[in-house]
Amino acid sequence: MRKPEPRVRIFWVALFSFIGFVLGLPLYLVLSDIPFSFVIPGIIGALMFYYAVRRYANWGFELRDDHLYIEHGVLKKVYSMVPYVRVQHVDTERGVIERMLGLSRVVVYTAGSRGSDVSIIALDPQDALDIQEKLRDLAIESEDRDAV
Amino acid sequence: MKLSIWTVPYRTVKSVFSMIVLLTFASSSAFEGGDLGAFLVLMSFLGVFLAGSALWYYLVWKRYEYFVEDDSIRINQGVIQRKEREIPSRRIQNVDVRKNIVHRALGIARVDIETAGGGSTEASLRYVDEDDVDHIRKGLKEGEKVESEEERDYLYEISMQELSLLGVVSVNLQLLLVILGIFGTTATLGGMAMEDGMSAAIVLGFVVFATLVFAFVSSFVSSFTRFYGFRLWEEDGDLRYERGLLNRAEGTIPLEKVQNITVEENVLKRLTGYATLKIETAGYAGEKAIEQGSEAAIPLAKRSRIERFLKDFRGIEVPEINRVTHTAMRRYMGRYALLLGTLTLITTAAAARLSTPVIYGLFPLLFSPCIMTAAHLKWKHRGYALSDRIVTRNGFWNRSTIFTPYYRVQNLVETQTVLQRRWHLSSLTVDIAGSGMFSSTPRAVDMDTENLREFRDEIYRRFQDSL
Repeated sequence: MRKPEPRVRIFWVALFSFIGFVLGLPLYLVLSDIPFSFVIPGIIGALMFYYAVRRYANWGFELRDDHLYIEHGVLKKVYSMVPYVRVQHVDTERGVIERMLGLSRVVVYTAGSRGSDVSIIALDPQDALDIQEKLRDLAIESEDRDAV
Repeated sequence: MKLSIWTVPYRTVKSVFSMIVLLTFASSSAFEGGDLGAFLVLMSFLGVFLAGSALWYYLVWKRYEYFVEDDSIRINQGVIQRKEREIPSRRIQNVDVRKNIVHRALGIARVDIETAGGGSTEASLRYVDEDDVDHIRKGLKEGEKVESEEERDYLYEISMQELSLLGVVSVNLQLLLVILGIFGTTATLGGMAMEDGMSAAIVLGFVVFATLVFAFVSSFVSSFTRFYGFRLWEEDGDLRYERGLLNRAEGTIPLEKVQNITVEENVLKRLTGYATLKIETAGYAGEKAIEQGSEAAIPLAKRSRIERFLKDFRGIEVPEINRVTHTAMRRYMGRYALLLGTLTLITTAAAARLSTPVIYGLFPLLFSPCIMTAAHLKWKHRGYALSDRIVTRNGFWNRSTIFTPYYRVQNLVETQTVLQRRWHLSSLTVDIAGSGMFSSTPRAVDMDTENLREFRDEIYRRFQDSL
């Protein structure tokens, strides 16, 4: 099972812990008369820390024989199988944060109405290009069907 | 070819309709108030608006041309920004013709063409002359054969009995019960707080009765006028239907573009042994999708008749549906218990506020036995099977059994929430090409995880074979 780039772990942990702490502050203020309430931001921060760690741990993908397999998710785990014959086109995308971290993502488009879930995130840009090319090669359009 | 010239007046009036209403209202009050100056200003404003709209739509009409060619349709349109579009017949999923009362009076119709790409109707011809509709249809067909109305062999024509029944059974029971539930709860609490409980009860009774009557009557009228004269027939590889009392609609379902076939049976339909058949293609059904039965191939017929239709027409045999694991019921019981608990909390808090004895606020708990029944029913009407199609079934209030051809599979997605993991359950979504929000996605929900993975793998195997 291939994983996203390890360094994104640090980013996620930092980001989510920070968000958790920040969200915990108003809660702390609201409940400030309860004893020991100062631990609330800490607890929420810790939970988010755990969330970020699990997020990376649960992320994986494989280019199998005839389909792309992706699994991810913490609260709701998602396991997707995308047959190559159904792939319409493949994009690589780099958002602002991704560019700052030197990462890229691969987005796979099918005709499926709920197929918006199909992207591989936090990849090394060269890996992303390689995967994009490989998927393009593997995607076969059947002749008499319109891939729909 | 040009659109009907009636397009100009129709669209002008339609677009300024709300403006007209507003201005007429405003101007009449100005007139009554004796403020002639304001009245004239408003009237002239309206006049300018009308003239401007008319001019605009005239230009739109003038610059709109469409060409029905060998297996494609070309549309050149646009006043300020020109757009030239070509749609090959091969790509067309649906061709729908709609006429409301005004259209019928003017002899025009709206033709919507849908393809699989994109989230909106690909092309909408507003509005063509009635006589041109057939010409467009024939031009877009890849075959030659066209039947006249007399030659048609109707696969289904709605009977008066079915039409009447349709109105009754189409009521959204779930929504109705929720509304009545809300009335009941507020009334119970209010009645306890008030002195005169008796009159409160009478008022409540009246409100409940009125709601029920309104719900059934409006459902009946709407279904009756929508599906009046519904007929279904096959023509040159397409399924075609026409329906409507006031607004006429004609639709085409190209059989080779069929994605899912759904048998829908809500509670009332199940009780009476009836069902609805819907056929979906990959085209976006747009605003029509929100209308009831937009893709209904058979709005209402006896279940056995629909099963026979499936068998004769598409070779689909309805297999025995496997139930999901019993463990799923525990998940539902937990969910409903939580809901009931929350409701009880709310009513208790409300009771405390209204300074009635708190014990009365606990009345939702009277419904506790319902939790088990509800969980059981939800479980009972859920299932899956594999025959010559993928079969998935869900829903109690409105039960949908979806038949999906293997070769339509796009993605197979297994999902598992934290709570599902606890019970060793997962859900499978069989993603197909379709309009997402409006079409039903085949899902096998809350299966035992091992069984689900076997199920998924078997679907995948058969999918590969079908290519």
